Amino acid sequence: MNSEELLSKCADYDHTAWNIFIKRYKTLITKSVRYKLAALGVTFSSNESNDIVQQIFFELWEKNKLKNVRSAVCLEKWLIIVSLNITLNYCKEKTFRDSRKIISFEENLYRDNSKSEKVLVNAFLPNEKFNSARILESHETCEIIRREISKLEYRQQLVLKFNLYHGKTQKDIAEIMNIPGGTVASLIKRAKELLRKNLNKFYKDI
Amino acid sequence: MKNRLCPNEETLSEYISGTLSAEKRLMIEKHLAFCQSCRTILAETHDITRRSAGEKIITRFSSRKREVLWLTACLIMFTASFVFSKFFLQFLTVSFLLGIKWILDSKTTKTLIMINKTLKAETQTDKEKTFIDQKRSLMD
Repeated sequence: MNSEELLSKCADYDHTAWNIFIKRYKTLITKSVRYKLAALGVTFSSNESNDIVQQIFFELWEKNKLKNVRSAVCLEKWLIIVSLNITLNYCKEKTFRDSRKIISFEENLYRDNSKSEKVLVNAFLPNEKFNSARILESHETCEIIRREISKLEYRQQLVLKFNLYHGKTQKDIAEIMNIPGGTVASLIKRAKELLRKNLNKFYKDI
Repeated sequence: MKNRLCPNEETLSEYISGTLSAEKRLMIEKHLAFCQSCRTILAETHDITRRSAGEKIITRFSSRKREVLWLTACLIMFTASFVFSKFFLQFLTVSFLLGIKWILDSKTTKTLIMINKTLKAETQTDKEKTFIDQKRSLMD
């Protein structure tokens, strides 16, 4: 049974199709759940991660979410996104229910920022005299760089953020955005040049 | 955090699959430029997709590679048995063993073994059933 057929049959609550669907995509959903839990820094037992997988299938069944999938081509990616979102919601609810803070989700969602601060400072500081410990430690510099990034054209901004905040390579970005690698490279190059120029101007004005 | 302006899961999956219209792509990209949670979702989806694709290739490649390796070794030993006629029997034995290894390692043989095992188990349960039935009839 191909994915297109499977999708339409599952949307009609066909039990055999659902059995095939679960067998086919269980591994992918389990992987997505475990990936998200690891990304959030949450240590759950395998029973709990199985609970989340079960909940995902249950939600797909109960809300007939598969009806919303317009094309079978993006089914796997759609399932991954749904699994990531349900896992995040499950963790949030669980921390709320337990009324004890296992982990700060906000912190983890934005954890890349602290990592990227060094990258930002090293990549765009105009010259060495600003590379002092005082500036490195202050968040002000990073805030200035972030502000300058947000002034860039939206495509340059997006590519640069994928590159700096999410640590994606040019090839990865090209795959995500479905554009040629050369375009990504030129977008990053131009964005960095513009940023350097703007930051140079900014520090000269101080 | 996800807000009400964020595109739904279908749209995001269509964006990353490249099936979205140019107009919609533009809108999504404008949103992605300032929405960290949507960017994170896309980055994570890409990561998971790449990993699972890589795993599939590795498993397919490794099993195929192993099969070819056993067959090549078997053929080499077989040729060597004729080249070095002094050790004909020794080389032939090794080639025979490698041949068996190749046959056992191949996918079709594994499937056949599995089918055989299941059939055996089924006949065993059938035998047990008839034994229990016979016992019951005797008791009656």
